Amino acid sequence: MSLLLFDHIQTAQQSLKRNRLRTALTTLGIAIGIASVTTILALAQGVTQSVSRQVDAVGGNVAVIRPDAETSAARNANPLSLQQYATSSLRESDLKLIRDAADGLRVAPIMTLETTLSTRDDDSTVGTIVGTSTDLAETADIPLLEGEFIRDAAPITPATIGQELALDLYGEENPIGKTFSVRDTSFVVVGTFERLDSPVNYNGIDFDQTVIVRLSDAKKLNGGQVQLQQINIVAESSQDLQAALGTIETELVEAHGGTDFRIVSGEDVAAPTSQLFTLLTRVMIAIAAISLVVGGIGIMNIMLVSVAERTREIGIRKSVGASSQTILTQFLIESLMLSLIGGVLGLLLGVALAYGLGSVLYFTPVFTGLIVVAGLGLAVLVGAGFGMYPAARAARKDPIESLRQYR
Amino acid sequence: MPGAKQPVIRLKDVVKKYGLGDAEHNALNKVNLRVDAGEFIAVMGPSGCGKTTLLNMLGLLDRADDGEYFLDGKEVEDLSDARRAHIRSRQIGIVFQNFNLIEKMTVIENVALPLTYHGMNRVKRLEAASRVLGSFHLNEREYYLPHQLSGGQIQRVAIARALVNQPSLILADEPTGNLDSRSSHIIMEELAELHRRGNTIIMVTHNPNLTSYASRVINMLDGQIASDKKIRVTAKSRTETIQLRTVKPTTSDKANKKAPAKKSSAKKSTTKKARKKPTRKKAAPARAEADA
Ligand SMILES: Nc1ncnc2c1ncn2[C@@H]1O[C@H](COP(=O)(O)OP(=O)(O)OP(=O)(O)O)[C@@H](O)[C@H]1O
Ligand SMILES: [Mg+2]
Repeated sequence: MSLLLFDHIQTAQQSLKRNRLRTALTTLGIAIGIASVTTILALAQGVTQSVSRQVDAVGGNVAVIRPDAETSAARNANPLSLQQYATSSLRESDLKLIRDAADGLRVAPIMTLETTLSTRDDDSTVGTIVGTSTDLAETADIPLLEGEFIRDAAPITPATIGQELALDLYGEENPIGKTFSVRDTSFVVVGTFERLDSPVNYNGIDFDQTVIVRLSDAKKLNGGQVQLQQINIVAESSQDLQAALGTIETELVEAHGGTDFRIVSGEDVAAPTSQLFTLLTRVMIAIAAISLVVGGIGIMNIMLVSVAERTREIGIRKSVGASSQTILTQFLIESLMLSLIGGVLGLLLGVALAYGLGSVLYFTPVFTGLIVVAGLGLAVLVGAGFGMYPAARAARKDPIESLRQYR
Repeated sequence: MPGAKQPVIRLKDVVKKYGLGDAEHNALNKVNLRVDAGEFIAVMGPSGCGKTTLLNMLGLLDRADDGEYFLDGKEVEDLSDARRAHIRSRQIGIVFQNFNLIEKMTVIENVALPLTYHGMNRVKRLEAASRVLGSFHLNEREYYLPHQLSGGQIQRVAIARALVNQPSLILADEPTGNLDSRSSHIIMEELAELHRRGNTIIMVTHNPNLTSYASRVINMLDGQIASDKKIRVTAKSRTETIQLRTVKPTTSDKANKKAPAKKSSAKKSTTKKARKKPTRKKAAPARAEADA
């Protein structure tokens, strides 16, 4: 039987070669589907890895407190609106409470505002303002290119600015000492960040596109309201952190009169972003799957044509001793070969596409063995799934009827 | 010989219908037939009397609408598709009236095709095919495509394909229909040789001369067997017919004249080699039957 398998492969090869153009086009359909799936998987994998790398970089001693409360049900139903809190349950007073919970804690609140920034030359751009504390420098891994991070005691309103935003506003990388205004407040650029190229991180902030200001200044811009997206806490060690988190939790519950917040630490810190991305990835994979189905229909179509064209051949093969099962296998192998060739091409195309897109999007795609297996596995699944019906039709053919057919 | 008593083929009131309603008609109308191992049967009859239909039935390609068909004592109606395919592959060789070669495969690949379903590897398959083609003087045409051959050559390829799996039952539908009388007799000699080795042959022919090779002649008419005669073939009568033929003037050219002697010696050597196989083959189905 194994020898027969080899014969089927040979027969399929000959048949596919005889109809080169047809084979190429059908294969292309599958290749595009597989390429989209693998590209998406590789980019998603790249994103996930970069988030967990950031968490690792800060160490196992990071915890994040996020609001979670009465309003949480509605919010969780739509993970895309993670940052748009109607009213955050976290309060400004919580910061002091947390700082006092243990020695050596670094606490960075994160409050984001989307606003228009304008320069003196009337250049303006929409950007994200992050109000935080000086501790953010330590809790998030954001090295400075020039200048300094915001300081609490400063005669001016300081701002540290991301690379891309700097280029947008001033057309230069190092606009230190230059000013911009948001509504009535004028800010002075005191420092710039290195380009990070990591729009995805556990803070949910693309630092390249962001201005970092003091929380008090952000509060002023927001009409005296503090809206905390999250509070980052970093301890000296993970033991210290765990000890501190216990105290923090009890005190916060007491202060808030209930649990309207969530404390996450360790690996889970990366989770909200991965959750968001898992969802996005799933949506995109669903779209890619549609193209794969279209490719599969292409295979089915071509195999049906092939079976019809070769009706006589099927009759002859049966009359010299091929069983229906053998015929089924023969045609199934032919469609599997079509889809596998498509799968391999699709993988190669996917690698090219992922790296191409990666260079534009600043992610580095990651190809794991699992992605390769998933790509080829999908191809096999499509080949077998869509090849089954034509193969069954071929197998069902009556030998005498088939022999009577002239071409 | 064990099982010599059992008929290879036994048909009881076999009916094959075509068409529906008023157009319905019986291509086979209650055919009863018993064929013993080692018979060489010539089937004759006017066009459309059901000869091809009968062979298709015997070759397990078609199913009867009514009646019973016992092959080697086993009712074929009960056999699974795989089992029928296995019997076709191991036991039966069919030469079709319209040859039925695969157009896009070369001559040698066509001939080797039945061996594929024995699970034989490609090299061995092609060797065996080449050997059989040699006995039909087609070695030079091995890598031709069927459409590049003459009608007679195609016919010989079709016969070679039917014989390549060394079947014990050979069903030949006008195997000499397209051949001149000398080529016909080469084919008939080959069939006669297979017959001498104990194979069962059922051959449809329109040529009364060729019935001299047969041990039994069946005449069909309107889907029924009209007459059924056993012929005693003696070595003497056979040599007589052969001599008769050689004396007969042929229309073919001089270059061909030397061929027969050479051909027959070449054939001898190949047939000798294959001689042992049919006996083993005949035992094999019985064993396979026991397995099933
Ligand atoms: N598929 C079919 N549909 C309808 N009628 C059929 C079909 N196949 C055969 N027949 C009829 O069955 C009868 C017997 O056909 P068959 O092919 O067996 O004749 P035959 O004896 O082989 O003739 P010939 O000597 O011309 O080959 C014919 O009358 C034919 O019309
Ligand atoms: Mg006929």
